[in-house]
Amino acid sequence: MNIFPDAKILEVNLSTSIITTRLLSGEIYRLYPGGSALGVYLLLQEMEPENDALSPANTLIFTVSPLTGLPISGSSRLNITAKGPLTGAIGDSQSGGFFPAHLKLNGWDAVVFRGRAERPVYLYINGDEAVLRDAQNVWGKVTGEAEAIIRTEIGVNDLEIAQIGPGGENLVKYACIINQCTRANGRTGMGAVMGSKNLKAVVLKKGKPTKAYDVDKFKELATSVKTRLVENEAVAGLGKYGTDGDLEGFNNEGFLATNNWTAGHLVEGANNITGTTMYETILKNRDTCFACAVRCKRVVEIPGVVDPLYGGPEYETCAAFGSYCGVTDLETVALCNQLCNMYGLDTISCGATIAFAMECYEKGLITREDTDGLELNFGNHRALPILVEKIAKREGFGRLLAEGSLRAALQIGQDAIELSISVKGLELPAHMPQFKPAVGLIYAVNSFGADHQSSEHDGFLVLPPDSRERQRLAQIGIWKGYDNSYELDAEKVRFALASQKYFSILDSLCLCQFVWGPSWELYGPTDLIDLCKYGLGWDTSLYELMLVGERRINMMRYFNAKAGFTKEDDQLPKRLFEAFNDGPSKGVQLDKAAFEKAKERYYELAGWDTKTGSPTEATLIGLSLDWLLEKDLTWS
Amino acid sequence: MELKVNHKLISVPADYTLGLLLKSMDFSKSVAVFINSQQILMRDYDHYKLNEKDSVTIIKPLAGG
Repeated sequence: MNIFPDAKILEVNLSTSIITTRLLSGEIYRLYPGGSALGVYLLLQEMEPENDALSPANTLIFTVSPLTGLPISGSSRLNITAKGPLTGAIGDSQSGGFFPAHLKLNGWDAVVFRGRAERPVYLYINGDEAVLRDAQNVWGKVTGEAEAIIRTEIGVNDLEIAQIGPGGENLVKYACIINQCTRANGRTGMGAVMGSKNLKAVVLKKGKPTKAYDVDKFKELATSVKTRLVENEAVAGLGKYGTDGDLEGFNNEGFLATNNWTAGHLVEGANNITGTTMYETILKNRDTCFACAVRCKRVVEIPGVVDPLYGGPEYETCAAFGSYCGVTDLETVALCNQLCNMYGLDTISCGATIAFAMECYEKGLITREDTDGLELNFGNHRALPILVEKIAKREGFGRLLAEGSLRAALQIGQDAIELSISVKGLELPAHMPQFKPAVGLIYAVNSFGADHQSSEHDGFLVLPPDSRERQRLAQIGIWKGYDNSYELDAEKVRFALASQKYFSILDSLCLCQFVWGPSWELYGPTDLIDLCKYGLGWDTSLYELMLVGERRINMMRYFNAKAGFTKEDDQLPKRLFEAFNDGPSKGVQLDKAAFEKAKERYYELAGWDTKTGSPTEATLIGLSLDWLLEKDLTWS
Repeated sequence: MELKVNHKLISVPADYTLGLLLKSMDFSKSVAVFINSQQILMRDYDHYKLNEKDSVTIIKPLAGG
């Protein structure tokens, strides 16, 4: 077996333009083996959580993992960590593509950005060489234009570029960082942090391929993907119809968040914006990430309207610009997706914030005088692209919406606050907690806000005990099945926490959650152990990896506590506890008392103080996080 | 024979199996099936014989990203 590799970290001080490198010993790296775990570990050493997210004191950290860049499906994910400007909490976001693999293939495990550049710059990395270059000529350009200019300027084609668009430059609170003009580190406003640092892009010369530790066994694991795809209809369907394949199914069940979550279904037209319709109409191609056989990324084209350069919409985007806004026009959804990728905006927060504004308008909390003359009724699809541009440019009414729904609500007034469908200020993704209460629980307690990719979804527990999904979940100690998705008992809380730890491993090892996971995905928990062994010579165990996942969750929670967050911030929007009056999900509601009880149980199981919602001293020590206690003698 | 599938009445030939029913309704095998409130194991889907008046509930786990 190999000893665990050291992490090679590139440190860029944007204020001084000084670039240095350092190694983090393998002994320590193994505790935080890349991605989000490494990101939050470094962040806690770099900055005081009380500092403003858009000040030079915030630190922006790009991380990959020792597994990144190995030639196997789902191995190319980039994690970005900083304090989040939308929430004021820890910020965390992942993306795919080829950029992540090539960051690692250039030899780097992390890039840490401190301070703020005097003028716009971009970082160019070619192996061990890293230089800051003037970016004034691309500042203000949309992503596609900026990418073309940078390619011409550097004069080589084999580049990967992660960048912000005008949204990040204008400090839109939910601006994202985009690579390939299509892959977004979308959530929590990492693009605004990058913009606040006057950092336009990180540009990589493509690296050279790497070899696995045990070439033969690794190859066997990697090529088994062909059989796995044949046997796994869920992932095969994902490849064919994309993540949006189930939108109509959600609508039929009555759990497609509609009209800013005031309803659970679109009365008509849901079929227009589902993945099958996209497949049959505007889909031009299926794109892929580095070494991945799934090919789930959409590439759509509508001549004269939507350019395939900017990919195509995912399920979340179809819901956010579709059902959230009462819109069923696929062209509008595809155009808004393109605009978000051009300007660098998170499609979920952007669509959800517009949906929030629509409800404010319908309820008379804002008028045409506020909206620059726009009629903002639900279903007015023509208003959406206009608003996306206004938000990205912070023009007119867009200035308010660029702050996200919660901050906008605080400005509009008291009656608007309940209309912000967010947790800690991060707008909810399109998985309704009424239908998936375990996901809802994680929405509430998750440190960076409501996230649908931080735990497994309830529905898989309905499958029979001999299903692949349940057999794999049993490997992480989940034994109980259910005859419906809605139940929230003590075992469901265990499921939520255990699967959260598992997803936390994936975000640390930078693995795609559609390929690697604890239930329906192509590769399960025992395969993950094989990946570490054959890929790196890392003889690990599920026990060690679950500790990694738990350590990350607790570091994030510690960061939040230091930034002023308490258990009072772990609240779902009030609306989710009210039953719908009609539709297929009529009468279904999340029981408030049961939910609060589940939350208390979660804190107990997580080893968090039930009064404060923060990790106890014993929990931190149990996770080898006692260095946090040494930093803060008042913790207990 | 007549069955109730997800609250709707449908007619199927005699000796119809659960596997054939799933196929005819475009469901993959990655679904949960309850017949008269009893969950059926996945390994039995192909050969499980349906009976007149069976009440069948088919649940497809829904995901997306």
